[in-house]
Amino acid sequence: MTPILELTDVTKIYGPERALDGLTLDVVAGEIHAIVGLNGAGKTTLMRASVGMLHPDSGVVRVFGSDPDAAGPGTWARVGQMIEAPLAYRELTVRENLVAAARLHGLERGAAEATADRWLAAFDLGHWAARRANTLSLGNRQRLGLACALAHGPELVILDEPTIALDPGGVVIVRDALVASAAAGAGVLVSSHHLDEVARIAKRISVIHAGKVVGTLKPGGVDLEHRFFEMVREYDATRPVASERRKAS
Amino acid sequence: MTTALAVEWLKFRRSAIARVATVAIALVTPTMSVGLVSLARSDLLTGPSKDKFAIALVGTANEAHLALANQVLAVAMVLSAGLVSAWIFGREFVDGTVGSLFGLPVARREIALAKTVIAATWSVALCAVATAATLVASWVAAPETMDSTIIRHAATVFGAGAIMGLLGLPFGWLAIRTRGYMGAFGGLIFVTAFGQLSAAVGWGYWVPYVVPALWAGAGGADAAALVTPWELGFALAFAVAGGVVTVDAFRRVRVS
Repeated sequence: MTPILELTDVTKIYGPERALDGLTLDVVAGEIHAIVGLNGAGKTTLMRASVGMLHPDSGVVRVFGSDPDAAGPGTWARVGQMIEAPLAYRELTVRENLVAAARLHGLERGAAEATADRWLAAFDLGHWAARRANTLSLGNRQRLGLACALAHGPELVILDEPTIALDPGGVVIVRDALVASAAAGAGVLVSSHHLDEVARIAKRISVIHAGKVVGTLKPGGVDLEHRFFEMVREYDATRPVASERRKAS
Repeated sequence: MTTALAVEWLKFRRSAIARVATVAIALVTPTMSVGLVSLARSDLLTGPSKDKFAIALVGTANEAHLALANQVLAVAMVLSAGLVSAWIFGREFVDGTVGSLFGLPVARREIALAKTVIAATWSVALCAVATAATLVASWVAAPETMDSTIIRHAATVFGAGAIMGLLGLPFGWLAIRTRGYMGAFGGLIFVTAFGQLSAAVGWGYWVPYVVPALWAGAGGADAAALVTPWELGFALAFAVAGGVVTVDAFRRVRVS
């Protein structure tokens, strides 16, 4: 199957640090591809490179076959992402934020309003629809941001730690939404620190470490944490200098 | 562009900074202009206090109202438009929402252009409202000396204030470069101080942040007469260039 997101031998260097070190990874339609890794492993950097937030020093990034720097509105209308803070403005109400996000993702005004109402219900945000975003709890703000990223029905979804501030109810809602997106044909790239959580929904789990993919974990397998740390330790054993530098930093 | 304008306009009209600046300038300009002239020409002020209001004692009451309005707008328009421009761009960095503006079919260039158009339109419209309100207040306070000369003078005060407002646009660029609004706020303080200094030592004619106020009479009739269209045009071109550079900087911004 043709990948809808491809990163090939991508490198990004910040001073002495190689945030991405020849990373190669892809996402195909209809799958949830989870990436796991320690803090600073390169997960967020690879997601930023995927949507053009940063320009790699070398390597190739393709979104639906296009370079992110050259991709047009037609390509980006098919993408939904939440990598940094949610697309949620504190002075707007929850509903206004959803409508604004849907419009910025290419929906006409009428369609955006109908979509906003549907996602208010889907993400259990109806009670707060008329509230300004700055009055929401962190978890509900996270829900709002995720709804803003998903409401236009993207074919490629990129989410960085989507469940980080969510309560168990929110986690289930997001998990169901991602599974539904993939079932509808979308490719999903999601990062998480929670191995059990991604193991339940991912079709592929890639371990990111020191800016590259150092292995894969089998979804549904047992003792994922143990296998993850074993993989990281094995990699560090082959690269002691890099490992020491990371420890020092 | 329509979508970007609709979303940015919604954000703008909900923002506290735009609301406060709008109300403050629309009310403070006529109130201060007419109020201070009345105070200066009353028996309530005597001695050194009265000397500080010398500008309010020159000409008819209507002329003095407009002279004070010019003084107020020359500073208030650049400060308010500068603060607004700095906020509408800087808040995307401070709130972290700039990352969400990647990967959208509405390009960042369109979003930046919408922000700039809204800030420019708002500042010109606000200056028009403040000038018109001053004119009405002046007519109410002193109807007997209101004539077409005053109307023409008001048009000049509006023009100068509008250019000063447009000169707030480059502070959006400073906000983008410093990834927040605090750097732009510092720049505003610097420009205000530098403008005062350069006007005092006679360099103001080629300083974009000074020449509009001189043209409208802030330095007296003789100084106003010396302002050339080239100097005014340079100030306007500086403002427009600032807007263009701001849009381009936001288009090229990266999040590393």
